[in-house]
Amino acid sequence: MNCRDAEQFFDAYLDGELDGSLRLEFDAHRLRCRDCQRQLAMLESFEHIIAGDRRGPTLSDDFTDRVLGEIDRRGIRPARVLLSRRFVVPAAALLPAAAVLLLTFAWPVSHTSLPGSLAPPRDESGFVVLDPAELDTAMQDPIRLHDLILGEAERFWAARGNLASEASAIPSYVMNLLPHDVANTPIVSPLDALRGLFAPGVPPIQAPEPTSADEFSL
Amino acid sequence: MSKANELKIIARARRGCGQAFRELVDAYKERLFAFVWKMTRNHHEAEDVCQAAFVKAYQSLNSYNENYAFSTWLFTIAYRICLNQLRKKRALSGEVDFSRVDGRQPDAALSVSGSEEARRLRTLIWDAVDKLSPPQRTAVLLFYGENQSCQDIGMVLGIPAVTVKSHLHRARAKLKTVLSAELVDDWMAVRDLRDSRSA
Repeated sequence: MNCRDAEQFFDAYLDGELDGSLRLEFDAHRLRCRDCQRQLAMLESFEHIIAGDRRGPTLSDDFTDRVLGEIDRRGIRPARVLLSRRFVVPAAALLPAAAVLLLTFAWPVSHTSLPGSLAPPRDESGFVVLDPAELDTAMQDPIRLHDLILGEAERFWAARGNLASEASAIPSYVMNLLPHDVANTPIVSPLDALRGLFAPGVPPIQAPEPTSADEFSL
Repeated sequence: MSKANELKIIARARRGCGQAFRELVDAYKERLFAFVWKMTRNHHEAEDVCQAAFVKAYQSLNSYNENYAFSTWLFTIAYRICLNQLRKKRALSGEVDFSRVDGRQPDAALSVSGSEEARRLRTLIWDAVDKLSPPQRTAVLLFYGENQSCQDIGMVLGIPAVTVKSHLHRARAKLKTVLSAELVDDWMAVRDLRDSRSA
């Protein structure tokens, strides 16, 4: 280790964070290098002087009286804190969300009571249609925003039904991949249970008939 | 003062008890003044800053978080007032004010080499500290003078503890640059004397 290397470890050494082989190398260099010894001695002495030097002017004897006198003169009292900051910030963040929910579900909008010119447009499937070009404007209007949310919710609910029927087809695909004897074991029947869960109206899946070349295809 | 006793005093002060707040002022005024004086280097200004810090602390007592040390919170208030004062004055370094220096004996190790030498070394060191930036100077004063941790100092300065450590290292480097040319032989003499006395 040379002086340039050792200088990089001065801070770690003075902070007591140098250990292991690096510490051994550093100590070996420090013991034989007068210049590094001087620099370390200076830094250590500086820290001791800062820590130990209590010289300086003394505080006025009437300092405490002056502090309390100013408090009385200005009528200062500890300010009351009504809400902890820990609650104010999250509450402020949740306020817009609460406002949207309130407008969406509590706003007394009934499409049957709206005049024809204000009823939301719907396509042939009955879903609410909103022109994308008018989206920004709709965001500012509570009624239009309500229609938009309603339309998206209807679309999602319809998609759920399609998803359920498609998911029920998966077990039949799996059954076709398995050989006949495995398909008839109890191991496979949980697939049938899943079918019952997602698509209760769909009939049970029948295992495929064994073929002459009935090999494991997986 | 134990933490439990201190919290009881703070609770009484929060209810408007002047005597309780007096106890708090008396417990911290010397330490706070020593720190502020080393920041401002002006006796009257340091007293004004300390007075303003205590008044502000009393006013904001209900927002003090008991999970942290009261000293850390108080020093944070004083540091911010100091910064405002320094910005107004634009006095980042100033002459050492020895107008009311007390008669305490200098450090034992330094006195061996002569009181004149000790005074010269001390003046050089404090002049170098005065030339540090306010965050670096604060980190040095609180770390070595008040034995505060990097985490507590970080709270005072409003920076992460790792940045405090960086300030301390940079302060060390600056002081080394300033002092090494002046005191190459003196430090070795001080170190040798200290070692021989402790042997």
